[in-house]
Amino acid sequence: MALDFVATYKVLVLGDSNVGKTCIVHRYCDEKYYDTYISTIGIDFKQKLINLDGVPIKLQIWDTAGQERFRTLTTAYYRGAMGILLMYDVTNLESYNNLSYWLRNIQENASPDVVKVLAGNKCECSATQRMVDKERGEKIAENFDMPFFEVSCKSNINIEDAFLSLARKIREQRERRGDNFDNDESKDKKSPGSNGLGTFSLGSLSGENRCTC
Amino acid sequence: MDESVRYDRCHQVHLGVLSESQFSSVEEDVQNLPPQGTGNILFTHDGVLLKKASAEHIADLNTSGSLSLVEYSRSSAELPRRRLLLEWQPNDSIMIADDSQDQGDWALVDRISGRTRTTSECRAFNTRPIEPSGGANTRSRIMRAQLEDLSSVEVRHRGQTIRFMRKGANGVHSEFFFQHGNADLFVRSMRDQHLIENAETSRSGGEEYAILTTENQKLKKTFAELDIGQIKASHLPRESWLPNKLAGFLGNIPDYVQPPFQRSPKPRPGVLISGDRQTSPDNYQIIGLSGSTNSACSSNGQSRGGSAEKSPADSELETLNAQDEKIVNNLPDRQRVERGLPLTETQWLEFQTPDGRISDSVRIKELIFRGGVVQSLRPEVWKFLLNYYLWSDTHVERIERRKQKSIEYYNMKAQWLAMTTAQEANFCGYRERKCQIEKDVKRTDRSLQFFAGEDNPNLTLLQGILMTYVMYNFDLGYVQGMSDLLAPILEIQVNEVDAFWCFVGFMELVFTNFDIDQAGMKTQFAQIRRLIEFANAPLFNYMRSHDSDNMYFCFRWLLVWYKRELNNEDVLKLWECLWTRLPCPNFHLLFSVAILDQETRVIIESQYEFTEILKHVNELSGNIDVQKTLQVAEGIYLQLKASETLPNDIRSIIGEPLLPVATGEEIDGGTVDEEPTYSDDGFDELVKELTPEEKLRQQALLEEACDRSLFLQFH
Repeated sequence: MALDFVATYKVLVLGDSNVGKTCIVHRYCDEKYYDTYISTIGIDFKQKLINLDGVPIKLQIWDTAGQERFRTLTTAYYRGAMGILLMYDVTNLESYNNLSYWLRNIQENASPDVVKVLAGNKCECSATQRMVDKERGEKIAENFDMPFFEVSCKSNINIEDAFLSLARKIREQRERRGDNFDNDESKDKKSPGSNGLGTFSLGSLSGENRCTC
Repeated sequence: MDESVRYDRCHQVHLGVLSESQFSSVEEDVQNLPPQGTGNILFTHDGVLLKKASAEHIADLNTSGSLSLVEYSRSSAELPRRRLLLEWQPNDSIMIADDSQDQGDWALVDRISGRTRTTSECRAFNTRPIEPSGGANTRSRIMRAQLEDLSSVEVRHRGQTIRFMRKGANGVHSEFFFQHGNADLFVRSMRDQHLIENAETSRSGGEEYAILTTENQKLKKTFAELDIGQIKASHLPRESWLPNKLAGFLGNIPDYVQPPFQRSPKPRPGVLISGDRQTSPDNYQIIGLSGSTNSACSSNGQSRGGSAEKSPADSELETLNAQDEKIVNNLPDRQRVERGLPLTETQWLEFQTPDGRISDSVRIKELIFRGGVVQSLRPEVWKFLLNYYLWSDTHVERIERRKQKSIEYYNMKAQWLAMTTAQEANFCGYRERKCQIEKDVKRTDRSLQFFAGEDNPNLTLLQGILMTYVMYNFDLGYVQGMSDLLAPILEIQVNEVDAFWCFVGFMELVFTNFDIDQAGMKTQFAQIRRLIEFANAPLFNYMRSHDSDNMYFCFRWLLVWYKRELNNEDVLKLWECLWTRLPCPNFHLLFSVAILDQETRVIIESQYEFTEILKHVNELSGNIDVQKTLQVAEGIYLQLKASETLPNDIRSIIGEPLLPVATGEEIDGGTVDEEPTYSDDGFDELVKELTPEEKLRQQALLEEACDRSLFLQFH
């Protein structure tokens, strides 16, 4: 099984709560759409084997909780991410306005080599429901050098394109960097763990540091 | 298997005759060694942190590695006979050649696969990445010292810390911290090989040993060999014709067979000495930290995963170690506990006095913990469990209380109902909370009949209660997950006032889960980690060696008390059990430990890494047997409670009385005592009484507000 694919690309889906992060992962990986979803608690991931221009690649897509409160946890997962699908909801202006917050967050926590794709979800909505014009999405995408897609999980628009575009950008980035992003499988397994709490408990163990008599 | 102590593997790295297959690995080893000589590991201990060293090793401080005693012999005459070196090698530079077969290479001592850290991780860890080849960089990271350059050894902090002193007045050469077990075996090994001898007890209360010069070593050895008890020392591999395994076994022979003059120093508590069991009151201090070497036997048989892959030799060793381990941890066998039937209406009535008080709340809680509550009683009994009603109140007092709480509720509800659009526009914090509630209400438990369908009035109730909670506790506000906690309560209570105050009671138990800094969650991760370390060492060791001991995968379990893992009926059942706070505080953590206990074999045998464990844990949703897991959790609780060597930090987690810390001992380094993490229910905060004057004034205000809010609500 491990030989079925050439590499694993770890991808993170980020964006405000309720923009459709879980939904897009379901749509893409399970090819399903549900009308009602539950909010994501903690973190989960799904994997999909894709054909990237003739090369089999495993996409490992991490789905995160959107609320800012859980950022301390989710940033632990930024570290190994090679690509980020950043999402907003075209019917929710706030989710668009918060993109700057998310971009700053990515800059602070993710690898500088991480590649990003922007997706404006729920584009099947009516004109009256729409709060963010396509041009505004395009503009911010251009400023931050991200490919941009308006997508719809409900109507299955551009989902595949958005993920393939992200995968291609990851491949380009790896080639540019001489493939030392993750040239073996074992490193893909790298956990977000071992930092945060690892050091936390280590810190409490090394309390005897204080005593230097 | 005990991963921290490998004294059985006294393999010679370089033998006179090598098989071809060994050649390649030996070539590499040659580079790892000092310029000349062949190395022979006399003793190795894993999980040893480098605490102090010369500047060149600064990047490896606080890194875990293996501390070894290595003997190099030289065939040419340039250098004197044999040289003994102390070596410490960081774990992440140790690669496994093939852990399925014994290759006699000391590289075997660690199972941690080569894992390259990213730059940012390295910053976080204060370490530097190893080269993919494990080449030059690795070599330079090995810390070596010739024993003859050292003057003495100090053991401190109840055996947890070992310090090597330079010759002359040059001070500390290096210091190590034993994460697992303690320095006893290391010291014993050195003593048995006549490399050190007891010196004065040092000023700090620790133990001090002088490192013997080569001449003295010989003398000591010759002297010792005159005694028949010295057979034990024959496990020195260099002179030994005994197979290594046997040598290891001999190393296990307890010290009491030794002649008195070379008895071991006063054994510290927690040391692996069979037949010489320490029961001094300060036992727990060490045993806690050496938890990883224990309790393989404490988990029930099914938990002992991974043994299938072990070579017969390993199994044999494990059996030997298990005997030691059992003594150290001393967790009694797990008892099977029985669950009971739900509390019935008849029983409930029997507990009520004529004026409506609940006569024996302790017994009631016991019954509820054991079997839950019948559906028809839930609305009433939950009000008591969630501290909305007081057990001691009479019927009349309860009616009055409910009335008061109702007024209070509508008062707070009026506050947000009266918020104007302009106010809202100028009140970001409020707006954010409101938006988040709206987003979550429409995706909370919609598959349940009670919340299903468009324009379901119960969704309005759910939203109203959460909004009112925002006004009740604006600082906490609304955080994702709270709607999950409220939904079952509302479903049972139906009435919004009752549901609100029950929810407030529940939030008192779990509000730290939603803290902005997530400190409450982190504390619970650490507590679960600690409980597993003590109660399920095989799993703990596995997870630690696979970078999975941060327990992040328990996040969803803890945040909403398993709401997402169970069907609705099981959620109700589990929560009412947990609300009793029986049999101990933090029983909800033992529920996590119990789930993982049942998954131990799968996790270890499947060789799951962090991501796979996360996936596995997430996929357990819908497949957890609540009754069985409650039984396992209680079984583990009883094991812990009955343990004679339960460390104080675990006592505090499960609400056992703490043992006094022995005076005159250094406290630090001994236990991982954290800040007092367990706080009692917090219910007391809720029932603060007002003075009669305050009550009257409040009353007038509230009635006015209530009228207004009701007016707003219905017009």
